[in-house]
Amino acid sequence: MAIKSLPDVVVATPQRKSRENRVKPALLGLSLPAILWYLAFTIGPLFAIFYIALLDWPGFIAPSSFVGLKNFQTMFADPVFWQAARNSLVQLAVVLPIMLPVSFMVGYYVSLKPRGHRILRVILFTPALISLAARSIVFLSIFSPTGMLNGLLRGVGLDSLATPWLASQSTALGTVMAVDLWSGIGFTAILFSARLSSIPEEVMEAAELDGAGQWRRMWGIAYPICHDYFGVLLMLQFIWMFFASAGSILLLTNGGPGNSSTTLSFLVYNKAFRESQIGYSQAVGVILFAVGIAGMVLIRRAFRPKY
Amino acid sequence: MKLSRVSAVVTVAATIFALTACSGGSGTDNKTLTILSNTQNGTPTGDVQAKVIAAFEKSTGATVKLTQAGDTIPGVYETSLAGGKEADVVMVNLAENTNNWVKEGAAIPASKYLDSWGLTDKIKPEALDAWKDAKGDVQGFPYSGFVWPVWYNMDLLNKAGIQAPPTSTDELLADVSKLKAAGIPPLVIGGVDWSGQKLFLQIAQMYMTPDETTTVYSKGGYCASPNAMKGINLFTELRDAGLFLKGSEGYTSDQMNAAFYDGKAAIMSAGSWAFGDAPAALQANVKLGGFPIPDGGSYDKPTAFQGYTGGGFWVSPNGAKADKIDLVQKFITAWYAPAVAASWAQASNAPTAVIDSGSGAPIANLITAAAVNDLPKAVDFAVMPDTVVPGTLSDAMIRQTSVAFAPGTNAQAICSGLDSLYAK
Repeated sequence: MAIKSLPDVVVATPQRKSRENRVKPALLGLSLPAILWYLAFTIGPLFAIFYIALLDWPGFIAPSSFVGLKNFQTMFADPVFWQAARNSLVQLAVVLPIMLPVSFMVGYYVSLKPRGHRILRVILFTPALISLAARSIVFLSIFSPTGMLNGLLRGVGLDSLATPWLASQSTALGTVMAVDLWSGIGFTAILFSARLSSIPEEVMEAAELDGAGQWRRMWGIAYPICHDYFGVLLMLQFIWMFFASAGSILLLTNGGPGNSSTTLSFLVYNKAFRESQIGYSQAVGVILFAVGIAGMVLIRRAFRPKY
Repeated sequence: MKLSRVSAVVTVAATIFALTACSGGSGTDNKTLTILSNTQNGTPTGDVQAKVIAAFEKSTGATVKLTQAGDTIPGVYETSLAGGKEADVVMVNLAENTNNWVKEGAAIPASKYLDSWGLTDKIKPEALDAWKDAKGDVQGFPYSGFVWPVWYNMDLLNKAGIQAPPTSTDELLADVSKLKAAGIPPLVIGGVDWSGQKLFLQIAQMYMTPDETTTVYSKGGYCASPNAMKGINLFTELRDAGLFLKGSEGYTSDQMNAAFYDGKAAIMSAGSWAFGDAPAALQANVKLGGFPIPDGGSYDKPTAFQGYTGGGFWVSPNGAKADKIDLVQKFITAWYAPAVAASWAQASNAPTAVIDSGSGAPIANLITAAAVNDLPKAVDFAVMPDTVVPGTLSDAMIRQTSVAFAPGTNAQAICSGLDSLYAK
């Protein structure tokens, strides 16, 4: 059939929002409690950090006074702050480059569904199910001077290596990092395996037909496909480690001996609750917040999708 | 029927307000007394507490709401105080954060009530002194005391050819050599926690007078004090001679107790709270004494600690209100009855601050008996650090003194670390 004429150019006109697409005020009303709660208990405290950092506040029940930037001046002149900053940096620089690649490789292996992979998934996920307190009790007994590790070393004739792992300035932070790795690798591997399992099998089969081995398929095919997801998990682990290390440090080493295992996160807790310097602790909190945001932005930019 | 927009929002708002009203706390009433205590149920002292509360409820018709918290009690109390919901009476020791309670208005000084309640004549004067703040106000009602001696396992000492506990550091060093030759670790200490901190500060003050100790421990200046440095050097000398069981820097006080009870060390420094846990078989072997003194030191006899800051009663702002203070008075004064004080002393294996607190009954625990009968004659009592070290520095000091137990840490590094705590 011959085309009689070309149709006029059709210009799309914006559709009026249908009644169903407009957000109903009634729905807003139902979300109101959650919004108010979020504003009061999440956004509110976030802004409060910046205000409290400008106060001299020697204890929750003591009166406070405005001192401007004095807490920041004290903080930047405090060797303990710089030691905590160094310890935080060391913790991130050592743990993250080990945890993420190892978790990815373990997750890749699990995604291949080898024999016993269901049991392996349970074993890998178990550390995530153990509470912080229970985990700390376990590792306190493993690393104590008369604990399992020293017992093992003495049993194989390596008595000279037996040391109070959590009470020695040279090993306390490293021991905490080892616990971080133990508790993070399995859980992260399970998250990776879930993502890797969604990669179409044909892609891997094609690579195999082309002669790519497992290592090549893992890092040359699977990793680029999961590149942005890798960045998401890296960012989550960064957040958990940078902001939430206070709990495990409190229970394992209390930041000691001296300040050898004190991190910025622990310093915020210690200054507020143990040393009753709430303004100072929030000044550290401001730095923690700023560095944390900067770290998250850097990670997201480095791992953003390239398409 | 479809809900209108307005009625939906109104319904939600009404629900919010109704739920808020339901979640409000109950008001105070003058027939309920709230107590926050660090004495736990199921312990000998917990049993005494339960009996006192039951008798109080029966005699007054009031109801006691008891909340128990352990080491976190200061934080629990201060948080509730911030919300105006604090307990009427708090039962806790005078240490660390509680040193600031009266100053910050978190507690009403006991001085206000001692005379009118007839308690001044019932409490030992030295206990009242120990609870005074810088202004001279007695902060809380003293109740529990403690002694903190050095424990010597005579069985192990005898095995090493030592017939009596050392009284000088020269004897101690000689005994360390004998014990090591016999394969017996000399002294075990919880280097990582408060027990190590106290032993370090006990040794560090060996050359200082009590006044000098009070000044240095409350204001700093360890490096600048020749006598403090002599004490710290003495500590490092003893450490390097092998006084401490290997790995002591990583031991907690619980691990220290367990090691001593199991016969894994000959000497331990522990307070009267540990008397009750000592195995019966060990009690007959233990001799209590003090830490040996150096030649030229400021004490004449081996030193130990004692005090009356182990526990007491604090009246909160809520408890001081007109509708509660009568109940508070009846509750607190009930504890100072001789029979109750005797029960507490028996249960805690420690002296109380109550003048008339003995029933005359024989003391079953052999170590407690030694503490009551023999220890006061054998030792001088040193300055208890908890009464002079600022409360806010206590935790940081524990972390700093734990470094002192690590082999190789020199005296200058130790004193610098301590001084840095006071610099802030």
